[in-house]
Amino acid sequence: MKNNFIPGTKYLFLFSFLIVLQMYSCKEVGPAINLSETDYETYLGTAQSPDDKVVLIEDFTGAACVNCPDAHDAIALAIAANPTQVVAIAEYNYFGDPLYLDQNFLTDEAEALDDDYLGPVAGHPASFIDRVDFSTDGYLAEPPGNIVSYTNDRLSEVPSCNIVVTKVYDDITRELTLTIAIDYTVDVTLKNHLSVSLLESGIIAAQITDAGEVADYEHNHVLRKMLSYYAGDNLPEENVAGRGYIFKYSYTLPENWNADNMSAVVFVHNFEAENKEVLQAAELKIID
Amino acid sequence: MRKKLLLLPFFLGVSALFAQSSFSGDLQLNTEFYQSDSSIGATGTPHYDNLLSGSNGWLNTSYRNEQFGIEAGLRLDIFNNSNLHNPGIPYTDAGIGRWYIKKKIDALTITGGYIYDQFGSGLVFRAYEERTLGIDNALFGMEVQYNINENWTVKAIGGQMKNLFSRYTPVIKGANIEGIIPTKNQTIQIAPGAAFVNRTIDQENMNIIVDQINGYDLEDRFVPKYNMYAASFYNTLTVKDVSWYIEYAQKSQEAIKDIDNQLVNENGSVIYSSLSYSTSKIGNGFGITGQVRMVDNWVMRVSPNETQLDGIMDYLPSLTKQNSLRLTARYQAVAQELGELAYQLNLTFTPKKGYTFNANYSNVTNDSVQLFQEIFVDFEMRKPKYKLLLGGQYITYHQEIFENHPDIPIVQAITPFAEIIYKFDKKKSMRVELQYQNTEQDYGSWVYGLVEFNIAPKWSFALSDMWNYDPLLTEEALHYYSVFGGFTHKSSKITLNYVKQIAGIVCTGGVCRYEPAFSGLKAGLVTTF
Repeated sequence: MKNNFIPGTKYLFLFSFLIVLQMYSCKEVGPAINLSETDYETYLGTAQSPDDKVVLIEDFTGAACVNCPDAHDAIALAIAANPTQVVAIAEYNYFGDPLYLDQNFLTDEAEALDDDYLGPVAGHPASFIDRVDFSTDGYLAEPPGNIVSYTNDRLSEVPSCNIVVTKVYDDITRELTLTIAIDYTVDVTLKNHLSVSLLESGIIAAQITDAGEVADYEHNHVLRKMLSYYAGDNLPEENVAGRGYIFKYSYTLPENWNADNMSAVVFVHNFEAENKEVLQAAELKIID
Repeated sequence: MRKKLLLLPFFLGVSALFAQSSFSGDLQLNTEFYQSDSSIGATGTPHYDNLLSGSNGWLNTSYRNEQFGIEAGLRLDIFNNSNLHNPGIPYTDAGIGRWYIKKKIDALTITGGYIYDQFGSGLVFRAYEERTLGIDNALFGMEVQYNINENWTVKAIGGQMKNLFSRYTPVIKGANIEGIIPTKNQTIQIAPGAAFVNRTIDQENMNIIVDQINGYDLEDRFVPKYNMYAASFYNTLTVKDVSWYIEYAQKSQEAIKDIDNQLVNENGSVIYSSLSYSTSKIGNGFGITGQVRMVDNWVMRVSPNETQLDGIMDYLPSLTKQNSLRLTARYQAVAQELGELAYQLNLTFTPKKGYTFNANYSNVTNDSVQLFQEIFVDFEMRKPKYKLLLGGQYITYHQEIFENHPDIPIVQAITPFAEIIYKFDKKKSMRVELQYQNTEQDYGSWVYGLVEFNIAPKWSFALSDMWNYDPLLTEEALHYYSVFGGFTHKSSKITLNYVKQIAGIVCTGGVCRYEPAFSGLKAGLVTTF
């Protein structure tokens, strides 16, 4: 009888070796999980009256994105109509960016917001107005044509909390410390998170438009860094009317950022799979 | 005339083609008519309130051509207000439930379409269909199998798992090698194998997982993996009348749901072994089988976002006796994928022809908590005119864990039973079953009786009643009865069954699920062609 012992087991051992090699050699880049938390103070006091609603527009955009200037224009119109009640963040995560290596506005946070939290979006530009699902189909992003109208709709909302942001900035060390006070005006039962972003405006750099490349385009509200986790830091207490939080964030601004054109945008939002609504936002310039 | 001669080779070729091929199929139709009965809890769902009926149908066809090594199949599935997949929630859809094409080229076999297969015992991968439980997790993709030599085979498979008429988005791929190592001693056989599976989660499912983890307290958060890797190594050693099977499976760390439905980052493992001995030299036959299995976090799903029987990729059956009699099958030990240690010992002895003793003991624990224990004995006597079965069962059943009912006591039950089949003549026979279950927990004690009359080969009639004569959960001593009629003609069988059925765990092939109470008429048709 033909002895198949050695040839047969050779295949088995080779197969088993390949299995073990595969299981223990493959590394992957995991999704972004917030493995740290910011300290805070909390208190229970008398509930304040709600301030005026400040609407947040987040714009998934790109310098290499030919249609993205349409959204930039719509956002500028919305802000011009209500300058104290509309804030915007331009989150550069277009697949074609960076347009040039020395003009890279991509941030890990913007990419994570697209990959893991607000997106993935079907195309750019994609704008989120208070992260509300206006079409009730689970897709939160809106085209430029809806930005002004939906922003106006949101202005009449009564915010569930007030946000007051103060800052200390040292021009020499470039160290910035933000103190954020959140005060709930009503009871909120959904999970809430706090997001803190640093933006820079007035950046002159190239942009692809439908008229071709514009070398001296003005990029505004560019997200430079989030000081909180990209999906927000936890507001874990029982958030009843009168609940207050005080958060502090510190950061040293890099030399190539123009502090004169920078601001902090802070917002409180729902953190549920089916509800990511922004409850209130606030903006503070770093240098007055 | 000339044109007719030109067509002759064509017709001869077609005849030759079909002469070497075969076409076959089968049809299964089930229809339920719902009649509300609030006393047994069969009420308050759309089926009982206003739909009043539901049906499932499967029309399966296959074509085979040996000469060209081709096989193809097509199955039409129809669900109309079906109560099968999620009892209580009607489901309606129809379409191609399965298609496949297979081509054999020498030692290579290629299959594309919806594939049913398994690696080893199914611990790391099993794609199968179990209609009674609403399971159909065929893998839609491709499989390649290569016969290395007369004893060794290797196969690879890849695709996405079926989810009714769509597919789960995660991607599954795997490979399996197994063979036989013949030895010089003809009484010794070694059959080893190894299998490997990789499952990659899609971004949409991962987003759901990430959202959940980021909402946990800081100490409970972890970075979940997109990829899960599982491997198993197994072997069957046969020495004369003794057979020993052992399998070890290990999977890499990934996000799974724990007992509190919270995501945790765990790897998993299973060790399973069975040892059996059978001989015709002791009395008229003797067999003994022992099995043991240790399971630790063995959750094999397309993603942790799927629950119960949805998205399962493996086969992890209960390691306890699968009872068929009504009362002995009331309490079934569903396999605990998060952790269990189970063992079972089964003994069969036929001292002389026509007399057989069976004894079975099984035990399941988890972290030293006893989940299930069963002692089962029966005696069967076969005579030309009749067959008699007598036996008894004792069980302890941790109902709180198996059925997720908090704060209820462990069920202890004793169930003696008897069955007699009497043949009046070559065609007519009668079967009578009597069972009694004594328990001071759950619903309380029961008496069950069945009378079945058969007129071979066509007719079968049965009356049964399961009477909760000493009720602990209801005010009245309720009857759960059934009136059954069946007609068989050649390869077709029609059945009608008016049933009052109690809610409970239903198991097929060791895989179980909860089913609610049923009241109404069940009609069935099965035919093959």
